Amino acid sequence: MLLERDDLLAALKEALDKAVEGSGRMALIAGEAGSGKTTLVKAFIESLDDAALIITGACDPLTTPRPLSPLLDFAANDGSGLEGLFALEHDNVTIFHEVLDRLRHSIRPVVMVIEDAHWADQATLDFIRFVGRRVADSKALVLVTYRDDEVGPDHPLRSVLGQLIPLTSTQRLHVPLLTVDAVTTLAGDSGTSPSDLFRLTDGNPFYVTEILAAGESLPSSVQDAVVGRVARLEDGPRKVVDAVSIAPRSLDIEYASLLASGRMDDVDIAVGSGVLESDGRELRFRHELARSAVETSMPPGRRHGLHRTMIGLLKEEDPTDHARLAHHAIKAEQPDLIAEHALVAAEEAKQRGAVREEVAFSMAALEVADLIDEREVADMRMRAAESLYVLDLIEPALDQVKLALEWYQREGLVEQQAEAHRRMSTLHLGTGQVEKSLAESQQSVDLLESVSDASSNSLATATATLAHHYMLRRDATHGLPIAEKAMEYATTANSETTTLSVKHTMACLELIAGRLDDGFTHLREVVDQARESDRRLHTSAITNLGSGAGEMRRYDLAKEALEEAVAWGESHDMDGGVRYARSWQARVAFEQGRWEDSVRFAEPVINTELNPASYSVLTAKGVLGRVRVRRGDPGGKEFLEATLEDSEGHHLQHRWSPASGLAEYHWLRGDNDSMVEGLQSMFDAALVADSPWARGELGYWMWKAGAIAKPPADAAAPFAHQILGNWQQAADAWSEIGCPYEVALALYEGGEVTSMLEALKIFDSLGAKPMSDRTRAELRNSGMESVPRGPSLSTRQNLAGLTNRQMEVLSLIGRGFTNSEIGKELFISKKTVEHHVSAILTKLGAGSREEAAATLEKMGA
Amino acid sequence: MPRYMVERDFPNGLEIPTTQDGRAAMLGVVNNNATEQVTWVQSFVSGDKTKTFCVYDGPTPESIRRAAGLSELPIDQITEISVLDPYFYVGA
Repeated sequence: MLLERDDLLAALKEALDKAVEGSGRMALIAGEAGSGKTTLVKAFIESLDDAALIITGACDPLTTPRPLSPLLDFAANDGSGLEGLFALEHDNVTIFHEVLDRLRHSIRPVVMVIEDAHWADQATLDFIRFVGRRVADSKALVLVTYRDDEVGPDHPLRSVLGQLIPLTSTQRLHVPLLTVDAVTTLAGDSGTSPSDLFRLTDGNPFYVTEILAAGESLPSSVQDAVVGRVARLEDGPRKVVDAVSIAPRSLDIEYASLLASGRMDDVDIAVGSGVLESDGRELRFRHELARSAVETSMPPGRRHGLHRTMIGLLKEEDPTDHARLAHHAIKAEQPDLIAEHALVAAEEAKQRGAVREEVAFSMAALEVADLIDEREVADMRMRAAESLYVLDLIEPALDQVKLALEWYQREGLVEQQAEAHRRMSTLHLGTGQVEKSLAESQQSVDLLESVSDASSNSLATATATLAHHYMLRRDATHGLPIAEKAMEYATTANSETTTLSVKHTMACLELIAGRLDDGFTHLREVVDQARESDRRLHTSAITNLGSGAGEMRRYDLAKEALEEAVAWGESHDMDGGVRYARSWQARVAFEQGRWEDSVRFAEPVINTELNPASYSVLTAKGVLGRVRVRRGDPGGKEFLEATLEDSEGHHLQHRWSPASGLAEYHWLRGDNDSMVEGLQSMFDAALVADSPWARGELGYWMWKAGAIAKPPADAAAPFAHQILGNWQQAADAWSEIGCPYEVALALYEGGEVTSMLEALKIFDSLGAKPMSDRTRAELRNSGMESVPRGPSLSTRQNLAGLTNRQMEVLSLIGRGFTNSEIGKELFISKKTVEHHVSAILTKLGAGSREEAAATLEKMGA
Repeated sequence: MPRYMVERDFPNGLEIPTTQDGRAAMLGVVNNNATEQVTWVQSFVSGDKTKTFCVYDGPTPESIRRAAGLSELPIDQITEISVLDPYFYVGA
């Protein structure tokens, strides 16, 4: 993937165009090691697609380079015409002239590449100067790449550059490092945090690629490059470099000197060598990658010693900087200090909502758990599990809760055990174990109710969770009374947080029970009230508001809430929440007939999520599968089947849409048996759930398959209308809700020519190929002779055909308009109309306006 | 990477001149395809030039559609395809 190089590619293209016109060019392409000079050149050459003869050569990174190494490469290039360059023992100047002649006398334009000129031997430098001065009167573009950061004032290439740069045939290009945006794109679905990647690499494409390729730890190749440079330093300055390498960003010069030899001379030499930079106060590496390379190359004893000394210095400066202290404690491998600082650092991170950092510090502290109070360890495991869950790391979270539960059981701590069971019930949901989940939740309530001294707060929380599980099962009948009980406990406990959390569950159950206005109003209240006090609850509430409104097909409400959920999640590292909201944005867009948007939302969810059974992926894949089915694209069935397989065991709410999509696929192929086979068990589940839309949609496809004759009780109205044959009412209802495909389906079912024509228009505009085809065929079968053709006729531009504007002009010509009338009609000048008309005549090969109009008629427009 | 047959309709007829315009049009399509990691392998054109059958390599049908959208090319039908070589059965 070549990012942010379009300008450079365009500049090269322009240079070649000039060369082709006969004024040859030399382009000096500079950039630091790894900035992508070679990649740029390659991309440029590939883009030429054989439009030029390519001759390439490179300089060697050897202590003593091969003389004329690039020219040796030229001779080895097949078809370069320079195969015999070294056959006769000519002197350099003769050889140079031979190459130049080749450039001047080639019929095709030539692109000659000399890579890595910073390593060039003296003879090659002479060649570069020679050809650079003479390239102007050839049809060649000569590209010379070099690392500008390695070409200091004394470098031999410098003087050559100095002589070439003033020439008008020379141009300089600089290959910059990548921006944060590009790095984010490259990080893609690798799992590496884009901001970490950018911090570590400064956007150096080579480093970025290396790190992504190597996974989490530093790749040895980049390391080797840096360490080799440091190895050439004397002992004193090297110690300074080592000392600076243990400081994550930069190191106070005084500290550096204290950690090293104590001699300021050594600091100066280290800076002078270019390995370190100094702003007069602090020392730092030119690059973070260089720093960590040096740090990891140090012998462990020396490295640990430096980190220990650093801890001493830091403690004097600021004993409460636990994050930094923990960092050095971990690096020094000092268990007691890790226990002391990582624990506090984790808590601080959690308080700031830095979920990733919290997990990292917690895991570090748990490594030395035997040095920490047992109760503290168990509690920390519970906290870590919560954050791991937010990061979608379900299995590791379960492991932590189980370990905590064991300890609570041994100590007979009932409330803590209940809390662990409650937490497990939530985690089991993540892996689709709905029965286990409900059982754990029930157990947590039972445990608390079995003792007389359980706090109302614990009871409220546990009971609310149980109610929540019934909500997920779409069971308001059981759920609402439990939620009311939870609210009583919460009121007794007089806890604002708990009350709010119970209110959240209650609001969701109100939605399930069909009390939509109450439910939406209360959910919005929870969203607003929890924003400051309870981030987790705020995230859940806003996401549930979005997905709940989506499920109920209240799209305006859904879109607003989902956008809010995405924005909130992105700014708070709540990746799981963002993905779930995105998957619902995809679902809403799909149902609204915005299929391109839908794909745009769904794809990144599928590509970045690791767990294929997560709700986000289930939702996104189901949506993408349905889009494919409705477009008639390949792979829809496969996606839907995979979704249903991966969601085995999950709640109905995650399964009925893909199941309906699969039924639709079979219906489009006339395979009613497969429809019923896939629908039956899900339909049965819908009949016992409080889910009118699931009943409606599953019932509709059951009816289409001929398996039922009447709408199921409490099915959503538009579907019920369709099943009852009230197609006009159904179409109106769908239109009101904003589901164009469903409108068209209802009109199609109307079976009258006018309604089917209307349906056809909608199917065409959506790009719903299978239904367009079917509707057209049925209209033709019913005796209609001129069934309208698809939209591509008037709205698309074809390669050599007319633009949309030209089509508009042409159709007005066809209606007998004059140029000035056309101008008035389209709000353009007469002059512009004239241009359009002459372009139209040329493109249609028509001799007159009348002939063009006749062509238009022939096209059937 | 999967291979697809992309059927396109050109009711006005598809005419690609062998001029700079034609070259630019082709290059534009190829460049647009590249942004979606889509490769245009080759096309077959009906006698009346109103329909093309284009063989494409691409990661997904959606990427084929996006690439077509960038070049303002119509799509009638996308079908995933694989090679059937008669001489594999007949013997060369």
